[in-house]
Amino acid sequence: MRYLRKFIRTYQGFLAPIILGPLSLILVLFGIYPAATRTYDLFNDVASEQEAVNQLRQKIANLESMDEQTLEDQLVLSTSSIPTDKNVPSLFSTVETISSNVGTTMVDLTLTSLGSLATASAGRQIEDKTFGAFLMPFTVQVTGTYEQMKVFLDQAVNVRRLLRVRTFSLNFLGEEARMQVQFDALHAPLPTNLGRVDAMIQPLTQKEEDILARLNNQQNYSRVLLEGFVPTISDSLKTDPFAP
Amino acid sequence: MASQDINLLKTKTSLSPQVVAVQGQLKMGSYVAIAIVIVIGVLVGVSYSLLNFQLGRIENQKKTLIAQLNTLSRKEGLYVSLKQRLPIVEKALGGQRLWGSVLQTLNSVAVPPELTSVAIDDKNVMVLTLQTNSIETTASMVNAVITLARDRKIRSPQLVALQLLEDGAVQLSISFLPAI
Repeated sequence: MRYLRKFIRTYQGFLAPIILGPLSLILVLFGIYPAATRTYDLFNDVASEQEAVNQLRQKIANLESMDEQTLEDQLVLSTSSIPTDKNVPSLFSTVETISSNVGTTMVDLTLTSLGSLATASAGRQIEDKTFGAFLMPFTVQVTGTYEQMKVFLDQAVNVRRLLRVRTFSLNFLGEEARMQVQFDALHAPLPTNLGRVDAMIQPLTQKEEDILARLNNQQNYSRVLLEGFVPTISDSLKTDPFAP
Repeated sequence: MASQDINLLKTKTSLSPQVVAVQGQLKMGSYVAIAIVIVIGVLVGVSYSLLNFQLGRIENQKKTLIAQLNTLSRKEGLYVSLKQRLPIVEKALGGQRLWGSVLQTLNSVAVPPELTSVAIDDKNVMVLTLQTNSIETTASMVNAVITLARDRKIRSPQLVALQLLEDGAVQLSISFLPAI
């Protein structure tokens, strides 16, 4: 005991370093370092959230600069060229009007691979992945003169309801020509999801405006209505504005 | 004479001066270390608090902006639908061909009644079927096809079939790719 007290008395000056040194090390390892790491992560979170806020502001500014009626008119224009569903009546009216305008006689119109008229059903739908749309093939037979056939073919690809000539065969019997044309009509549904809330929105490009101008200049022999347009939003923070 | 010092405790350390010096330095070092740790800890704590406060403020801003964006969702829906549709329209327009105009350029080859049929398949290969009354007329038609190929209005012309009929008529089929 006497030696212990002597030892403590002799080396009492080392007590502070012995306690404070390891204590500092422990504080750094288990306190400062985790706190600094968490603070750095928080700094990154603040930066990314600020970026998201800036993007949202820009998105809102871009949306507010667009006129809703103009957008709706443009969408109706684009859906009149590629409808949201098969819209068989508009197909009939388009082809029939072309034939009538040109002066040919439409002998036959056959829809192939129609499937169900209700596009929402799981009927046969041919998707063309190069277009990103569904195809509805149909065949038209017309009679008339050779010149009328040429005009018919050119007009068929110059109307608002976009048609693609897949094949045709033209046979002549004296003055009369008889033509069978295989067309593809396109349709594509509207999106049901707006995507992420922070997805950016840019005004239409000049190329897109030119496409709309070209569609606007084409003859519209069909009437397509924008019905049932109810988009939903994927981000959980956004609520469905159309919900009751 | 007896010593006046009755203090039995030794006041003087038995450590050497070097050890005492080291002891002093270690003591100073430990005080400095703990002070630095405390200062850094306070700085980190203050930074964390400030950043946390800022994050809360930014998150509130974000909620406000999202609520504002909700009021524009119909407009956004129209825009997204339009943007999604336009590339399809562009591809469809790009894939259209003015076949009537192509047939017009073939007038230099033949017209009805010499031209008996025209067909095009889904690979855009056009086949003309012609019927003439003489070899000379047939030759001029073939020359016309060659001229079109030379003028790059058609590509890869091929004589598919040639038949000489009993009455001297010639029937031939020519295929080619229109340059469109």
